[in-house]
Parts: sequence; structure tokens; C-alpha cells
Amino acid sequence: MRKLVTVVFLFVWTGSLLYGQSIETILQRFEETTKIPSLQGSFVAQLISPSGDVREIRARAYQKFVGTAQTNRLFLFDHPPTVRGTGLLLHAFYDGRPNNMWIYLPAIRRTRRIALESSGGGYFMGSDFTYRDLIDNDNSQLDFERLPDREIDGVEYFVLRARGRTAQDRQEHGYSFIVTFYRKDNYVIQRREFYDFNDELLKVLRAEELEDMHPYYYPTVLSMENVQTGHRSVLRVTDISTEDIPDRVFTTRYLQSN
Amino acid sequence: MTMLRTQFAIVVLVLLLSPALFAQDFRFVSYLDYYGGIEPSEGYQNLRSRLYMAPEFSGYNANLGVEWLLAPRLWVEPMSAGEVSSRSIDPWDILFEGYIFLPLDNLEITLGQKVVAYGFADVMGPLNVVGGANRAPLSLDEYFDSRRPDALVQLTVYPSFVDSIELTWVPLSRPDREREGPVALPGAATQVLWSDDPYILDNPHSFFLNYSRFGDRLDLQLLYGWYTDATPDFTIGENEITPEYNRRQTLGGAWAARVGNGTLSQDIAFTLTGDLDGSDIGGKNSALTVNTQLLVNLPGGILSQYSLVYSWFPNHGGHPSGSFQDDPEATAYLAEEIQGFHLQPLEHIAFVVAHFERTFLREKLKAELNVGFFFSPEVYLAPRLSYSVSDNLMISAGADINLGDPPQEDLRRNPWNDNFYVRTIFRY
Repeated sequence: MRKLVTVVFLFVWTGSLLYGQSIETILQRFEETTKIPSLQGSFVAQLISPSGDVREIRARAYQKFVGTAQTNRLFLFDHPPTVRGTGLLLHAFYDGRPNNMWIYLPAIRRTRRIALESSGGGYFMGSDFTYRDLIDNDNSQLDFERLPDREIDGVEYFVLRARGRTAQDRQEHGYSFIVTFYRKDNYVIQRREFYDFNDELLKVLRAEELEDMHPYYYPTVLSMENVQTGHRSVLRVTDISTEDIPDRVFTTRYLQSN
Repeated sequence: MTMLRTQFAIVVLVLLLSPALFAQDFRFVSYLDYYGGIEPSEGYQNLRSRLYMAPEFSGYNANLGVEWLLAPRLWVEPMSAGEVSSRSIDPWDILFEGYIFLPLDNLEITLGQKVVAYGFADVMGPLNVVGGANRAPLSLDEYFDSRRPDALVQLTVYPSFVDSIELTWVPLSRPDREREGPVALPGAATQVLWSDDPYILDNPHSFFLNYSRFGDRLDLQLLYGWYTDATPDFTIGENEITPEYNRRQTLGGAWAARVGNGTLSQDIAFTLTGDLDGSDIGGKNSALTVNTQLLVNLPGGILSQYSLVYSWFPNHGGHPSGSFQDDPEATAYLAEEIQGFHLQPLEHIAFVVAHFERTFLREKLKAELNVGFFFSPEVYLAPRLSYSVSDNLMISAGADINLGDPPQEDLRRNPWNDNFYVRTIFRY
């Protein structure tokens, strides 16, 4: 009887904890689950038009967290031939500092500081991902709102809506607001909806495959669908390694020597 | 002579391609294009048709820790403008880049022929003084055939992740590629005869010292160069004018920073020539040049770049009147021609080059427009359109249009006026 009371108590307690998760807790658990200190791999982005035409982008990608307020990312492009040898280095900050971005253009043998977030409408090499999508959000610029929990295909989710605090924040963010579905069992983002400035649904991001890299999870297949145009991009990451990446990789020297 | 040239080209090619058997990476660009002249005052002209091939081989020797690259260029023009009906690449230009590269912990060593680009400006950058250039392209933004890199030894030291100090030694510089054939200067009853020497033997050894910093909010470069200029001065004889390649010193710096939604950069340099008082009618004047460049994203997904170039030539026009054959009129004509050749027509010059581009169809279609505004009615317009048929195949077309009357200078770099081109490009 005592055991039964204990089990019932634990069940109710755990359930109430889940139900009562604060926004901060959800964001923090998400960060703990997915913030792999150092990550590298190869990715293939397939750009799929509504007519079925498929193009591919292939690149090597490196990512490393530096302290609590900086992420470094490096992309070295291998395909298509028009961008082969091009490199993109990002130092993204979450403490209000502007991001640093450099691009190495092999055709002119130059490394240039750039601000690509809104370049070409902000879309990353013709895909449905924007350059902003490649940079983690600075949560201090966003207002979060907890929406009712959802269940999709038997999986339960916490749902948060994030909106830029000011018009400028929203403009820089690139969306009116985003709605994110965090799995209750591991806090990983399974689905994210992006709304345009008319508050119409623009794009849907889905984590199609997750790799369990205890204590972390990493989405190895991501799809981004523009529901307004029918265009879709599927990003597959392979050859993943969580070995520490030397800091020298995230420098302009490495950018232009590869 | 043609047979000898062909044999030389074949030998060069075989020598170049032999190491390619050991390459670990291979890239290839080829295009076929056609340029047509559409200057209203001259009627339609066939300017050129070119088949171009640029293989690139590279590899890495793990035992030695050495990387290498070999990049020859080849082209033939079944149809050419000017005095020859067809032509092909100069055998000395077949080797475009070829070098070995040894990366160590805080040091890199490069040995061979390589493109070096200093400064942040990509239009008329005053710090971009290493190596020769093609000075007579049909389009000002010639992409495939603009550089003539030098053979060099380069040491790059990295005191930190963000700083580097680079020393470059060029034993023998290569001259710019100028117009082919003599250029008559009727106003002075003389002509310019170009040299076709592949290297400048008169003034060997050029040195460049560069400091670069790619920092948190600011990128910085400082440069000092003591070098033989690939652009010639002129020795003025009784009956002919010949190029001579002289020493210059360039001291300058550049910075780049993010400004709001864009990037602002500025290259500033002073170049000191040997003609200190400006009295040499054939000499290039010293120059202070400031190039301010803004790269900014406009609404509608348009990427734009604006370059404002200002130059001051403090010893401009210092030559005595009548210094050429005691003829003030011929002297004035010659001075104007040579100063025009050196892009030093006035003591102060300024111009703006604007670039706009927008992509469509998920970057398969790209539209570009270059505008050169010289604070005069002579506006340069260069629209371009390219479409990626597949990942490997692209078709492009464009035009180079100068509003106003064609320039009158006899010695101007590109004697052809308005043109258009169509091009098919294959990349692997």
C-alpha cells in the first residue's frame, strides 16, 4: 500500500512538474539537450522545387560554443562548382554584440567581412533556410509566450511562441513570430513554424531524424518547407563528430586555406 | 615563328600537366564566348570569339606536410578583333598559378606563382599592387582573364588567431598585358611600341610587407611595398615611345567594419613614383588614393555595393611646356595621352562605381548591373544576366555601354567601345 502511494505520488508530482514547466525551464532544458560543445560533419542540402527539380549543396560544417554568449560556425562549400572553395565563417553573439561574418571568395582570393543576414532576402544559397536560421536566436531579443501543449502522432509537445521585442528585432529576426514544438520527453525541437509579417504561416521546419548522442540529441535530417511556394529543402548531416575542434579552425586563416 | 610558339606551348603544357597525375583534387572551368561591337558610330563588329579552359590540380603530401596547386590556363580565339584574325594564349601565360604551400603552426611558406590580393576594395584598390594585370579587357569586370600573377616567395607569420604578418618577395615582376601592336600617336607624330618580354628584367626584386587583422569588430590591413610596377612609364625617343618599368613605393592601410545592415571599408594609400617633381612627361605621377566602399543589402533582396574612388596627384602637370621636340602643342597632346593612360587626367579625380545584383529562381537566375559614374556625362553601364542550366552549366550575357561620345585618346587601354557578349560556362 505504501509502495502504491509512493508510485502514485511520484506520477502526480512528475506530471505536475511537466505541466508546470516554465518557459525558462523549457528553453534551458532544450539548450542542455542540444548544445553540443563541439560538432563537425558533412552536410548535403537538397533544394526541391514544387516541380520536383532537385539541386544539391554540399559542405563541411564546424560548430563550437565559446563561453555562454558566443557560437562559432564555419562552412566550407564543396558543391555546386560555382561555390566550390567558398568559405563562410560566423561568430554569433547572444549578448547584444553584432555578429561577425566573413566570406572567402576563391575567385578573387579575398576574405571579406559581410552582413549576410538579409542578403538576397536572407536565404542561404537558394535554400529555404535563411542565414538567420543558421544562427541561434538571441533570446534576450525575444518575448516568449507559452501556448497550449499539443500532441501530434502520439508525441506530446510544449509549444512556445517567440516574437521579436521591437519592430527592429522582428525585422532582424526575419519573421513576425515563430512557434516551436519541444518534445516533452527530451526537449528537442521537432517542429518549428515561421510566420511572415502578415502573420501568415510561411515555413515549417521539421526534425525528420534525431541521433541520440547521450547526453545530447542532434537532428541529422532537417526539412524546411515553404508552405507558400511549395519549395522544400532537406538538410542531411553525416560523419558527425563531437571531438573538440581547435579554436584555430574558426579563424580567417583556416577559412582561406581550405 | 608560329611553329616554334606552338612547340613551346606544347612543351609547357606537358610539363605542367605531368604533376597532375598525382593530384588529389581536380577542378575545371571552360567557356565559349562571343563579343560583338555595337558602338553606334562604328557599326557592328566581331570583336572576339574565345574558347577558354582552366583546369586546376591540387594535392597534399602528408609525409612532407606540403600542399600544392597547379592551375594552367588555355585559350584560343578563332575570331579576334584588330590586326590578327585569330590568336591564342601567350605560352608564358599558360601557367596561371603553380605553387607549393607549407603550413606550420604559426607560419606558412608559399613558393611559386600565385595571385596575391591586398586591401579590402575589389574595384581600383590602391593596395592591390602585387602582380600584373590584363589592362585591355573587353569588359571592366573581366573575371577569367584579369590577373597576371608573379612568381614569389611568401612567409606568413601568425602571432595570434586574428593577426598575421606577411612578407612577399617577387624576384622578377611580370608586366601588365597591354594592347597588342604599336599605337600611333598622330598628334606627336610618333608611336608607342610595346615590349613583349614575359618578365621585367631591369628592376629585379620587389618586396611587400603586410599586416592583417581580422578582429572582433574591425578588420585592418597595413601595407608597405617597394616594388617594380607592372604598369609602365614611357621612354620618349625621337621617333618612338617605349615602355620602361620603374620602382614605386606604396604605403597604405585599409579597414573594414560592419555598419548596420552592411559593411563599410576604406583603402588609403600613397604611391611614390620616381618622377618626384612631375617633370617627366612619360612618367606616372605619385598618387594619394582613397577608396571607400559600402556593401549593403537593399530592400527587395538586392545586394548593392558602392565604391567612391578619389585620387590626388600632387606632382601632376609639372612637365615644362615644349619639352617634347620643342613643340608645345605636341607636348600637351603627349602629356594628355600618357596621363590618360595612367588614369591621371587631372590633378584630382573622383568616380563612383556601383554594383547591384539580385537573384531569382532560388539563385539560378542572377541579374547584375555595374554603373561607373565619372562626374561627367560619360557613364559606364554594364548589365549582366546569368542562368544556371544545371550545377555545371551556366549561360550568361551582358553588355558594356558607355554613354556619351567614345573617348578620343589614342593611347587608351581598350580601343573597343560599346559591346555585348554571350557566354556558355562549364564548371566542374
